Order: sequence, then structure tokens, then C-alpha cells
Amino acid sequence: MANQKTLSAEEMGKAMREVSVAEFFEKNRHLLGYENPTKALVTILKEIVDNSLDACDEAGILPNMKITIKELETKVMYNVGDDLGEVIIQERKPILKIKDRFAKLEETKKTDDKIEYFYSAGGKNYTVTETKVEDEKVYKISSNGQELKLMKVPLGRFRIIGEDNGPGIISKNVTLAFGKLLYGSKFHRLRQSRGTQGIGISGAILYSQLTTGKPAKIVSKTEKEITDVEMRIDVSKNLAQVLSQDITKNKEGKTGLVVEMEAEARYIERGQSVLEFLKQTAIANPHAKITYDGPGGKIVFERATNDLPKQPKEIKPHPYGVEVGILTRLLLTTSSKNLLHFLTNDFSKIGKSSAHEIIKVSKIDSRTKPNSLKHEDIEKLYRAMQTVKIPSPPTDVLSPMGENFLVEGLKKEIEADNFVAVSRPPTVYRGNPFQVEVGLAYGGKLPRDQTAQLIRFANKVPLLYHQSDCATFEAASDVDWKRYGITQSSGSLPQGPILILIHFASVWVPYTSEGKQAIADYPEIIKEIKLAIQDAGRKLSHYIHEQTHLREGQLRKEIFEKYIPELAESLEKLTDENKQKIISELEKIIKKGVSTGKQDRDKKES
Amino acid sequence: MFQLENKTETKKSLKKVGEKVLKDIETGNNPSLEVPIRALSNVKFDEKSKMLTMGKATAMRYFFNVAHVRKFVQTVEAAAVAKELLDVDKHLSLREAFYRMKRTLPDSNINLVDEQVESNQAIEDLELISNASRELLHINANKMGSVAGKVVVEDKGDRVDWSKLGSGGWSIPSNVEEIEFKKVNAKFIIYMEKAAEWERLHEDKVWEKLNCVIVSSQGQATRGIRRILQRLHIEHKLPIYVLTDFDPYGWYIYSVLKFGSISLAHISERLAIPEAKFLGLTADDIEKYDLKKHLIKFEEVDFKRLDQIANYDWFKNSKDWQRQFKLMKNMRSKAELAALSSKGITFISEKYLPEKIKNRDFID
Repeated sequence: MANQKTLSAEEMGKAMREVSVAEFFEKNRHLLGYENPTKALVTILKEIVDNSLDACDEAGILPNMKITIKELETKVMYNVGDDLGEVIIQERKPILKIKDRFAKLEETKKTDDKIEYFYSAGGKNYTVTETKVEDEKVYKISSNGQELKLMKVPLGRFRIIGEDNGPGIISKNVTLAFGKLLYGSKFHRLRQSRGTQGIGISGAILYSQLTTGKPAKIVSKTEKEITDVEMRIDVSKNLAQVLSQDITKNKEGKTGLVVEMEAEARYIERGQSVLEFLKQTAIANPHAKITYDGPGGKIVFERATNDLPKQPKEIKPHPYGVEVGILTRLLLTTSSKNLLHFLTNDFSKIGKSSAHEIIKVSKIDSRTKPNSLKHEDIEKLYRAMQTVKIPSPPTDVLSPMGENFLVEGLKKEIEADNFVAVSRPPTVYRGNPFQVEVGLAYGGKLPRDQTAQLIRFANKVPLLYHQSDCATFEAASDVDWKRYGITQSSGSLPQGPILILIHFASVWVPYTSEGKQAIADYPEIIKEIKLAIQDAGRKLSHYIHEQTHLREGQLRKEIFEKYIPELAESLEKLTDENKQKIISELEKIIKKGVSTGKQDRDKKES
Repeated sequence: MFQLENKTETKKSLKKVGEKVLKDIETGNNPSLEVPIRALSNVKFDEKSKMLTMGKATAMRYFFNVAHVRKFVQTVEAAAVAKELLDVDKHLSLREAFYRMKRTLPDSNINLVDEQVESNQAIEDLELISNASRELLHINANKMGSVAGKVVVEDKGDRVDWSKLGSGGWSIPSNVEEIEFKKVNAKFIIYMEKAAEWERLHEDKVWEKLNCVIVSSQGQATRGIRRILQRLHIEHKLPIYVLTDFDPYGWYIYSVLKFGSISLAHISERLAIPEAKFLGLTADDIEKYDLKKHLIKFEEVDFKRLDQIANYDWFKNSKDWQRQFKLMKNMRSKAELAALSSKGITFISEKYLPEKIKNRDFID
């Protein structure tokens, strides 16, 4: 320690500087959902889709989206003697590079389970074999029958294009909306919407830029003009760096937005994947048509209804729902001239008398300018707001999916025999109105011997990750499913051919983290979710019991049919009566329909 | 019950079972069998005969009933197997009968019987339905017990002297009905639940010194043992004294010998020996012979079993036994017969038994 140079406060001060939000997120990409390359691709897509659906809903347009994901290339590196060999997969075809030179493709051989490509380079022959292992393509190179050592498989590079028929964004806002983090229309108000913080799409662009260095392309068509921009994000300034901008008149009048970026990622089609995200989005938004063109082919998620969902209403924050930080920000940005006005104008359900009571409890002068409040006063005010009795906020401001749309959405994407849905009436947690909806799909092609699939939505956005941290998971595991004829080991999700959909709609979704993947477990929320599941479970149980009854009848018949020849054989030995005759007589009784076993139920077998 | 004595009667009775089922089938009815219930609920303690007797409750067993079908076919199959045995005049052990009945149902992985317990139960049910004991059905249990003493018997034409059979003694067959007692010089019988104690007593020639017969089983006494004890008791008036471990399960072995068992209550009169006496180990023995340091702590199941036994009708009114149960409960422990050897290798033969028998230190 002694020989270490000590630093003065002045010197340390020089090292301190403001960290831009963009810079912060560059270092903490996991907070935005980019912690691994598979999830990164889903997150980019989610940001694009959320924005498009929000814009369409707000403008009252039936969404028509086109998503394209194109695999640009994947490199696989091999050790070729002392040099590197590279297999570059472009457009799903391998190109071989040996010692930085492209090899010549001589021949291609295709069989059922593999494709072999024969190359020559520098007088030597190489073979690249393409096989499939669990849906993923695997490339191996060999030279003269000897397999070469695999060095590494870098990630694939993808082009992601999202296109919608929304209202577009006016020219002067385009670079702000896409190039500045924490910019947006949704953070400063309380209204049920998919996005909230204004981080999403610029975060996606930031990730794209960090992994490929390529700029993002945006084409925005409003009714009047078309803005065509190529841009990056200046990380240190948290601003867009515009590379080219072209504004023209929109002669056709069609509106919409096209976002295009390139990113390094990994593409899968099972489990927590792009496909699953789109499928669930289609379930929650049956009014949207989504065309997906991905590496695995083209899929169209058709529209199931032409009715637009109910428009959510914007409300002012309720005093019970604000936190000190939000209160501070509201005080700084309000246009109200004094504290009394601030309270009555900027909050929901605070009337004159409640406002006076709050001021009395907090012992602050009602004429104080809101932006001049000191920190201690803000805390006093905050505490006063929590103690004074204030009516609940209005609850008719939400936009639920609705029971009919829920069933339609499920029917369109899930192959099952029975569908039920329940929309609970809206209620309130911590001053925020919220509403829970549950849909259940049962039977059909759903797997019979596995744990139920839980699909979760917050404001109609699928939540694919952190399921076990989510209030929906906790509530669904806590419900006693056995009552509805579904097997379950206590404290976990039920078993059997059932899919559980839970939608949580609120002006403010209490996520457990910035990644927005799990809903916090407030007791009011857990309770509502459980009630919704129980309502739905009761609806479903009629169907299940009917099915069980039918199946049991069938099973019974099958059991008797199996034992008939056995009984006949034993009886033949015992009485010398002909076995075939006994069998045919017993079968006659079955056909006639014997009351199979209900009798003498009360006389228990020993 | 079990009035049937000869083979033709048994055969007829088995055939009747089959014809009854056949008639149901021909008339288009749900084939059924009426089976007396073998459970505590249908067992009564008859104060007069001092035996467990079976009540009149029966259950209908149907073929077209998902819960019954398996047992139904098993029972009919058991009858078919017994008929076959009688036809060819051969015997099968319970284990062999299990394999005889075991077969796989067509187009399935279901076996008609999966475990011997199932075939055993089917055979016991068949005994009740056909009124013929297992012995008459030509099905035998495994041989389990040993005997030694001054008795000569004739078995299938062979003369067997129980005092001249070396260290192993004579093993009691499962069917003892045909055995004839030719010469009985012993004065009483000591029955013990453990083969180890029997070997001890045999090595020490206790049967010679005390002029008795010594019989053992391994655990619960088989039907063959119970029947031969009963026959010696009835035909030759030999008193029977019972030695078991000091624990609820051991004492229940005594209970079965004396009063009969719940599952075989229908044949108590052919098996039970209401005059049998309990020799030990008693709670007083633990005190008197200073066996306290060899006590084994009770487990939860031991407490439960003790309470069950103490509540059986046939023990309820016995002051002596209720006192024993209470003492055991207070000790919260059990002890093994083998613990007596801590007092000396031949302590049981030279001290414990002679002293107890001389003092007539029994519990009834």
C-alpha cells in the first residue's frame, strides 16, 4: 500500500464524467434482453413488433406486418495444417476458403441424410459434408479422407426487416425515436401500451451496431412524406448519427414504417424462439396479420377478426401508485404553478378536499412552486399522499383481449379440442388499474404426458423468459387443478394436454427487471390471477369430466374384451363347455350393453 | 364350514361354481360369484367356542365390473387349476399354482396374476365359495416348521420317529390330514416362533428331559403346523405352551394359534386351539430374568400394532393380557427370545423353561 500513489479529490474528479444512457446500456446489454445471441434475435423482433402494433392500435389501423429474417452468412473455421480453413455459409450454401483463398467447387453429391461438396485448392482435394443434427446444420471438412479439427463456430449474421402499415413517424422525430434511448411518447403518461420506456427499438439498433457495425435503415411513410434514413447511434452522446437522410413527398399516400438492421445472433425455431414469439403474438392479437419470412421458410399468421381492440384510455397517475422518484420527476416537469394545482391537476382522483388534506398532513405551504420543493419536502409530500384516503382510480381505461378474441386467438394457433376464456373485471394494485384474463386450451394435439405449457402476456406482449420468476407462474402453480379433473403434483404446474394463457393488462406493468420478462408478485395480482384461473378451470371442468366419462366407458369395454377369452378358457376347463361358445355369448352381453359395474357399488369388495 | 371330506364331493363343488357362472352367461346376466367377506368387519369372536368365527356378510363379485373383473377371472381360474389337480391326482404348492395361473392376456401386457399374493387370495376365496379347504383342493403351502419329540407317526406308509431324526428334526408337511399318530409318549408341546430357539432346545435335548414335543415355525405358524398342533391337542390331549418374542407381533402369533386368524376365520375350528397357554416372554419375565438392558425401543408401528391387538374382542376382557399390554406400553420396548442367552448358553433350556413349566407360570 505504501508505494501506491494516492489520488487527490481533484484528480479523482477529473476521472468522473457523465455516463450516457447509451453507453450504460452498451455495457449492460443483458438488462435489455441481449444476454445471449438467441435471445437477442427474439428481443430485436419483439421491439419492432411491439412498436408497430402500438402505433397501429393507437391510429386505429388493422395491423398488417411483414417480418423478414435472412441469414446472411455463417463461418466455421478449421485447422488446415498450420493455416486456417474457413467454411462460409452464404445463402445456405457453403463456400470453402483455404489460406484466405477460395477453393474451387468441383462436384456436389446429395443423399437423403447429407450433402457432400467436393473442392480443390492448391492441388489438394477437400470435402465439406453437410448433415443435420437436431434441426441444426453441421458442416465438417475433410482432406483426403482425414477429418480436420474444428476451430470454432462463430455466430450467424442476420438481416432483420420489419414492415408495417402503421401511421409512420414524422421526419423530425424519426432519428430521435430510433437514435436516442429513453425517448418516446409512452414513458410520460399512464396508458396501457406494449412499450413503455422508449428504450426498446434504439436498444435493438445499438445491439445491431455493436455486433456488426452496420447502420440501421428506416423508411417512414406518413400521409404527407416519406423519410428514408440511414443512421447509427452515437454512444457517448446518446444521439442519432445520421449517415444519409432523404425526404420525399408521399404520392401514393400509403403509410407505414420499415426498419432494417443486421445483427449477429443464433436462430432456432423451437422453444423460446422467434417463431414462438410470433405465434404467441398472433394469439394475443387476432386482429393482426403477420407474414413471416424466415430462414426456415414463410409462415402467415392470418387475421382472425376485423374488429379493432378497445382503445385504452390515458389516465393520470394515482397517488398510491407513484414512487418518490416518479413524484420528483412529476414535480420538476409539471406546468402547474403551485402545489395545490399540481395535486388536483396532475393526479387521478385527488379533489380539492383531498389535496388540502395532503397539504395539511405534509405541512408544506400550498402555494409552493412544485419545482422548488426540497428533497425532504418531497418525501413528506409522498408520505402524506400515501396516508390520506383517496378513491381508487378509474378502471375502465384498459384494453383487454376479451373472452371471444382470446378463444379465437387460441383456436387459430393451437390444435386442441376445447377452449375456454375468462376476463376478470378490472381492479387496482397500488393505485394502478389492472385486469387479468385467462384462456385454457385442452386436448387435441397438446402433449398428454408433459407439464402444461404456460404462455404469458403483459399488455398483449408475449413473455418468453424468466417464467419461474413470474406472478403468473406462481399463481398457476398454486391453483388446485385436481378439482377440475386435471392431474397436478402440488405446488407445480398441472400435467396433461392443457395450455394455460394468462394476460395481464395494466397502465403500469410491474416487471421484475428492465428485461420486461416477469411480472412482480404483488398479493393483489396473485389473487386476481388465481381467481381468473379458477373461473376458467370451472368452465373447462365440464368438458373434461364429460371426456373422462366417455373414455372410461371405452376403457371398460376394452378391459372386458381382454378378459373374455380368459374367463372362457377357465370355464372350459372347469365345465367342459365349448370355449368359443362362451366367448360369443359373453360378447353378446357386451353388445347388448350390460350396465357395466355400477351395481352393488355400496357392497365393497374385500 | 368345510363339511366336504372327499374328492368326488370337492370335484362336484368346483364344477358347480363353473356351472353357476355358465348359467349367468347363457341367460344373458352379468356373471357373478358370491364371496364371503374376509375382513375384521366380518369376523366375530365367539365367546362360547373361544374362537374367531366368520360372519355371514358376503360380497357379489361381477365379471362386468371394472373393479371386479380381474379378481373374478382369477377366482374362476383357481377353480380350473384345482379341478385339473384333482383330475390327475397331483398336488401343487401355492407358488406352483401361481405359475399355473399366470398367463398374459392376448394383445396386451396384462398378466392374469402378477404376484403370488393375488393367486393366494383367489385360492382362499375359492375355498369359501366351494366349501373345500385348500388341502382338499390339492394346493399346499411351503413346508416351514420343524418338530422333535417322543412321537411316532405314519406318513404315506412311512413310519417316522420324531425322536430319531438327527439335528434337523422332522419337517411338518403342509397337508397333515393323512398323518396317523402311532405312539405318543410326550406330555405336552412347546411351540416357538423362532427356528433358532428350536435348535437351541433340540441341541439341549429339552424334549427328552422335559418329556415333550418341540415345534417351531419361522414367524407366523403355517396351516400345517397349526393343524398338527390341534390334532395332537385334541387326539392326545397334549397341552400346548407358546414361546414368542416380547413384542406385539410375537404375541399375535400366540393369538392366531389360540383363537384363529382373521383371514382364515372360516376354518378356525380346524386350526384354533383355545386351550393353548402363553409361556413367554412376558413383561414379568423381563423383570424377573433381568433382561432390561436388552430391550429394543418401540417404533411408531409397534405402538399402533399393540393398540390394535389390545382392542381385539378376544383380548379385551382378559385382565392378565391387558396388564401385559399396559406394561409393554410403559416400557415402550420389545425384546427377543434370543436375549435369554445373555444369561448363559443353555439358560433357556436348563433354567427358564423348567422353572416356568414347574411353576405353571402361564398366561391364558
